[in-house]
Amino acid sequence: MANTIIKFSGVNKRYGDTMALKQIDFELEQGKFYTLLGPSGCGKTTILRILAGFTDASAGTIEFEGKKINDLPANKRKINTVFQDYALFPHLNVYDNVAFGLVLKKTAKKVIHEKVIEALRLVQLSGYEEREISEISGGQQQRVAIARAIVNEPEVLLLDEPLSALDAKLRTAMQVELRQLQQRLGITFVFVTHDQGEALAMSDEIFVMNAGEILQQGAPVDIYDEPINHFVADFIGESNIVKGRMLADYQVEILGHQFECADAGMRVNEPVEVVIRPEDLVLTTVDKAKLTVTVDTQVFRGDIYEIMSHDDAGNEWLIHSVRKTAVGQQVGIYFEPEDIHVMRFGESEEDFDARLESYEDDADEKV
Amino acid sequence: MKRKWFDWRNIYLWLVFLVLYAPIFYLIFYSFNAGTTMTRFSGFSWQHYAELFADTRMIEIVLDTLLIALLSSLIATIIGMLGALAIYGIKKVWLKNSILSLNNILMVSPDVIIGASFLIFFTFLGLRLGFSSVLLSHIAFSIPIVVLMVLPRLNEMNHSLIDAATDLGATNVQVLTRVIFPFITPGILTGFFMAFTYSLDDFAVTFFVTGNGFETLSVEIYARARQGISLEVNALSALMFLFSLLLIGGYYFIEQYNNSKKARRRNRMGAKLIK
Ligand SMILES: Nc1ncnc2c1ncn2[C@@H]1O[C@H](COP(=O)(O)OP(=O)(O)O)[C@@H](O)[C@H]1O
Ligand SMILES: [Mg+2]
Repeated sequence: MANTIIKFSGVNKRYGDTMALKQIDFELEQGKFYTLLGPSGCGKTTILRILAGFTDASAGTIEFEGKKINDLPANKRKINTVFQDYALFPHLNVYDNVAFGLVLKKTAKKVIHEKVIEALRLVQLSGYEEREISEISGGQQQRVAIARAIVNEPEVLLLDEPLSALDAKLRTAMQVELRQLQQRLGITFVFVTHDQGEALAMSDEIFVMNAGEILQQGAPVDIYDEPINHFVADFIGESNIVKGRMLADYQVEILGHQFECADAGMRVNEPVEVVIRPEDLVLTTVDKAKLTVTVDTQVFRGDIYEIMSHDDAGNEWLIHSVRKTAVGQQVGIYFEPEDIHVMRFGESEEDFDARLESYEDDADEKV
Repeated sequence: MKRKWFDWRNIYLWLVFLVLYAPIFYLIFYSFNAGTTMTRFSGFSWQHYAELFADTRMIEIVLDTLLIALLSSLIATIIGMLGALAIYGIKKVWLKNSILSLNNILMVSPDVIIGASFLIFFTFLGLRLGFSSVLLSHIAFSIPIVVLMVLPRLNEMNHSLIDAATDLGATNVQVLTRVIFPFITPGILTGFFMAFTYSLDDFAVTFFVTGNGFETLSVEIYARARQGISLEVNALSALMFLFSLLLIGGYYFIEQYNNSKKARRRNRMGAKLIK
């Protein structure tokens, strides 16, 4: 890979009997925004701690710019961290917190001053130099934590759920700011979150994790449109997942009906799961419908109606519609072949990628 | 309507203060007595103060006592602080708890027992009883106090502060001096003052381990009291009471000064922001 800056090969982490990380392999490229996404306890923080050097891996190698760094102590790594609880030094004011790393490096006073002022300007905290940490808000503390890290000009910045303590509005604003900051600095960000919306909004690349494993890696659009399995589909956004059977390439059977789809490369009659996103379902009349459902609830969300319904087989269907309907009514739903995404049971990411590649080439040839 | 200051809670407070302070003021009052007993006040005089300052033995003992208190609390603070850091660093829960329990046992066990065991220990080692034996025993009984004052502060500290400092390039020593020390300083100071007062106060342990020719204040006063107390002791008590008042006043003043310094800085900053 071009410009690989960090490489994990076969990294394991055991705490007593619990395997916090099982066989983690990935490569990070210089200058990209990566997100580790997964539910609480899946091992995101553990990966960051191993990267930063606070925790040793039980097995496997960690490389930085091609050199193994397993035994390099944290204070010697060109990596800085923004902690989940910010970890600002309470006895120092904003200026001295940001200057901490530079002072340790015995940088000249004048240079420190320039860099600290610049870092605070970058996070829009100019004029707050003399404030005590206890005198600024949570959002400002978080930005001090970012300034304190970036002032050292690290190659890689690790951010552990830095936005989780902020209210929704500030959080959205900070997502945009962080993304812009990363692009301006041109360094690699590894961002940890359990919020899928945040991950989709900010990342070049997302790693979806569960129970100490990376389930899928890819661009936000790819992961959203082509989740590898039930867990990823469910975790990344809302989705309708039903059981189905692959009849042939590009032909899938759901609920006794045969539909055209955009997936191929599976065995004939292979049992599969089918994902359809709620925003891809269009309400229509029963006679034009691909499926017929009965509306259970309808909630107005401002931009859309969130409609819960069920079919005759008892499957739940979540529909996002701009048009309203009535509770208890039978309605038809319509979707395009591309809106269907078929998932195999227990497919590895490698096989999944290979299969997608094989028939996407096919499709290109056909056109 | 009832007058404001007349309140059962106020009465209770005054009563408590009266009970606690009455004996002290009684003592101080009689230090100015022209007579020689505490039963009848026969007129004002500085005579007992003059006696006290002429009593070189007493002055020497006061200085020795202060020296012991200062030295023992300083050394105990250093050792106790290192001990607290070591206990903080222990990962095994059972080991940590056992060491803490040992620490607490020393805190609650009667001074008489501690004094007696020190006496046996020192004679076993063949150490001559005197200044050094008193100093050693005071250091020993002060260490657990310091540990108890410093450890909660350490536990209060967010552990990720240590990670953060390391992350920013700090070595272990720099983490200690630049992050941990500033954070636990209040605990260290409290520990030091507690150890200092415990040492000044101590009678039982000192009584066992002081030999001939070396006395501390409490032991000396005890010895004199047995022969009928002289009002010179009252004069000494009055001076020491004044000394404590000055100490507390000084502490309060420093506190105020620090606060106002912070406030001034904030004002200055406000001015800058307005500009
Ligand atoms: N110091 C530790 N000792 C024991 N278990 C730990 C320790 N740190 C983390 N774990 C365990 O490792 C797993 C992953 O934790 P973590 O990486 O913090 O998850 P996340 O950040 O994704 O919420 C969890 O099951 C957690 O209980
Ligand atoms: Mg975490």
